Amino acid sequence: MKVKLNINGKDYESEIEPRMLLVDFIRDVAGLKGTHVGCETGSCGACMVLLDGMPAKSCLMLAAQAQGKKIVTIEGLSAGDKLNSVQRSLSERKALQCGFCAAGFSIMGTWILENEREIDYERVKADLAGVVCRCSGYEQVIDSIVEAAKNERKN
Amino acid sequence: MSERTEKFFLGKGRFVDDITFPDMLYLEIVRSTQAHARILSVKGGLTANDLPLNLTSTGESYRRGRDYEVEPVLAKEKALYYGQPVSAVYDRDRYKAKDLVETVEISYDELKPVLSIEESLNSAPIHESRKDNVVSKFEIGKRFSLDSVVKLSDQLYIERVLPNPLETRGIVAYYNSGKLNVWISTQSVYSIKNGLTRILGLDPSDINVYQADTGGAFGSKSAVYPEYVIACYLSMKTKQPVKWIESRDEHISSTRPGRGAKAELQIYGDREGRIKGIEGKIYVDVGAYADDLSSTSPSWIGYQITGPYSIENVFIEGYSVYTNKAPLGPYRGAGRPEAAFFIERMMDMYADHIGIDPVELRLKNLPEKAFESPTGLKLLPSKVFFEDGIKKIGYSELKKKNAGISFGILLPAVFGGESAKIKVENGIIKVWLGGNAHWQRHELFAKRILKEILGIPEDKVFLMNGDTIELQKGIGTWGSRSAITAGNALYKAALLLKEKAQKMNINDPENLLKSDLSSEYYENMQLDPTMISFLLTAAVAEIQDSIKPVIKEVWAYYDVGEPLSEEAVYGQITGGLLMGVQEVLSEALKYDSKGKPIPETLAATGIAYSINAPKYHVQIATFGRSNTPHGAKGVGEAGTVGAPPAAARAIENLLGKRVNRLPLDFDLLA
Repeated sequence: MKVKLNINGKDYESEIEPRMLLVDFIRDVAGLKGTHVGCETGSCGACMVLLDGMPAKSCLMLAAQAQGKKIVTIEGLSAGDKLNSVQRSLSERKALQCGFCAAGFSIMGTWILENEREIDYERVKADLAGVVCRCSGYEQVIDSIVEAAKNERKN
Repeated sequence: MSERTEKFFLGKGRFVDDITFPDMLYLEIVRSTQAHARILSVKGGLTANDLPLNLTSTGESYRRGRDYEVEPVLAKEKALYYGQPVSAVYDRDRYKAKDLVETVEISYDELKPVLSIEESLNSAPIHESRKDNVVSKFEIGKRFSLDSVVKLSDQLYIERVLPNPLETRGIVAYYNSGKLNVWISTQSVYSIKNGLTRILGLDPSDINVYQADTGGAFGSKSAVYPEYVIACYLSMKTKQPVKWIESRDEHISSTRPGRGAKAELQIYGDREGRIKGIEGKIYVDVGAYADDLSSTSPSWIGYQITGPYSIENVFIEGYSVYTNKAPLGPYRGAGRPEAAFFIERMMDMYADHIGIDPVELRLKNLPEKAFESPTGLKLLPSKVFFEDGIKKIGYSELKKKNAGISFGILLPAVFGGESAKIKVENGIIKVWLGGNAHWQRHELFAKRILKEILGIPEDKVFLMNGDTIELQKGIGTWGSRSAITAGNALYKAALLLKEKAQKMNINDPENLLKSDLSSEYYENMQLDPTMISFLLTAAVAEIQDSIKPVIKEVWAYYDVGEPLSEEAVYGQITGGLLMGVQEVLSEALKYDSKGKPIPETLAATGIAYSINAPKYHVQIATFGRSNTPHGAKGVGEAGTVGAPPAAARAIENLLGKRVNRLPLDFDLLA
């Protein structure tokens, strides 16, 4: 079947099998490799994207289901090589170790900054409950997002 | 800011599944659906008849040869664990390759699976050529007999645990113009190269291994696995690039889990709390096939069974045994957490029995001067360290919260040493280490060392991924070894570079960066008591949602020698602590009565999410420098050694019931 997906403001049109997952479309058709496959069952968040502004796990839906929606991947969060505030904070605090989770925490962190009213440690900790980090113990990740929120409020 | 992490945020990492070639074949493995069965026939795919090869010990596992059964690349007459590779299929299309798995027909004659250490000792051998299921037997320490006033016994058990890095295993193999090129997610390109060279009978000059960005490992990416051999074989046969990416359910069934150990211990002591001896048996369930690491695991646990204590009498019999489960591998700590859990649980039992404070008991048994245990373990006196730590974590307050405490040691796996290479190129410095980082912060210490010795600004130093062409000899990253071994090699390579520069009259960083100098250094190392870190851990538990015990707060006072980067060390410690805590609460690989792994998803393996993270109180301590030029000690496995016994005790205090199994037994909650 033919689908047209809008990813990071750009249309990608392709002939695909109906069963193709959104994550495979993003990685293999659009060639955006920053979205990862970690578990195939929605357990880990490595494949996270924003779908019309809401966080979604792209391993759990078909590419065809995302037609007509605005998809933002990790590549769409930065402006050129300039990281967004959440990513900058995660990077500066060296919060991630292996880096495979970058999409999950960048997408969730960005959503938190844009949508949560009261952003503190406990709020962020609860909001991140669907994204796995096996390396860090989470504290530096949570601190980075809280700090990004504080900086944003100051500006 | 580091360019290395920034690329991940820009989506510019290059993990193994991100590497593609035109006309690439996707490999899929057809796996046994039986834990123990005779294979009557296999119809379809590549089979053992095409690849009659066996694996070999390599990487972390490479120690010394023993008499054990090695895993075949593909099962032939018998399948000995659920998930064992039996056949392999491939297609240019990823989805179609997965479809092909369903077309292979395997018929089995089911046999009763052997699924526990107890069953293994009492069942017919799963390998018919052997007389029983014992892989190897060890005697550690010296037999003794004591008439002690206090003699206490217990059985302790740690379930198998999956490494579960967020990125599963994967490989791209491309045989091109007579050379086999391999891109792989790994802890060591050298172990992969050595293993593949030996298994496939290649000339070492005909194979190059490149490390892709590696999304975590925790022990699971040091060895050579069947899928790697099949991918290389297929590429050599078809002359096409071949990719294999593990799915999470394959990780659960077929990647080597760690732990799976049992101890039957007796502790001897007097009424005042002075330990006189420890004896007993340690068993390790190595699964269906063994390698050097798994077969010797009981002796490694036994070697460090005394923890930091001066115990004069030690006698341990160690057994590694076969079961119908996936072969055992290293998981963060690899034997160290097992030993710490065993001795620390006995220490608490002893303290309770004679009615003294567990910390007082521990302090009483620390060596006053340098000590060598009957197992050969040499320790420096640590009383000052632990006494300081007890004050620093505020034990008098923690005691009121019913905290559990553990004292531990961290033995770094320095044997084999390490290599490093430095190359000045186009105004920057590139660094290769024999141990292949996956951003456990090797880059931070590389920057620090080169700044210290060569005065090079940190933003000019780049740590490169492992590459057997750029740096031909190396060992790997595991066993809390890199800061010591790779740090040492890099330090000395930097001194060499400085010497070369001075001979050419280059005496400042600016002119050095304009040069094209390079240097390389390799040095073997031996474990030295100064390299052993001491670990003080505390944990407080509480009941959540009226039924479930959780760990609320954790304290760590860890000796890291001269810290190469405090923030890097901090993240390593908190990451390890959470894994250690979760191993007590829920993280485990359990099997059903037919030998099939029970968890079917990553979440079901009981891993920790953000909401499970306790509050961390980490203090980084320097208790003497290691005997290396930079003075660092290991840290990577500190939390997985220290947290489980402290968390187990905290829960024991909370529930008032003895905790001697990990993860927690649900019966305790009744």
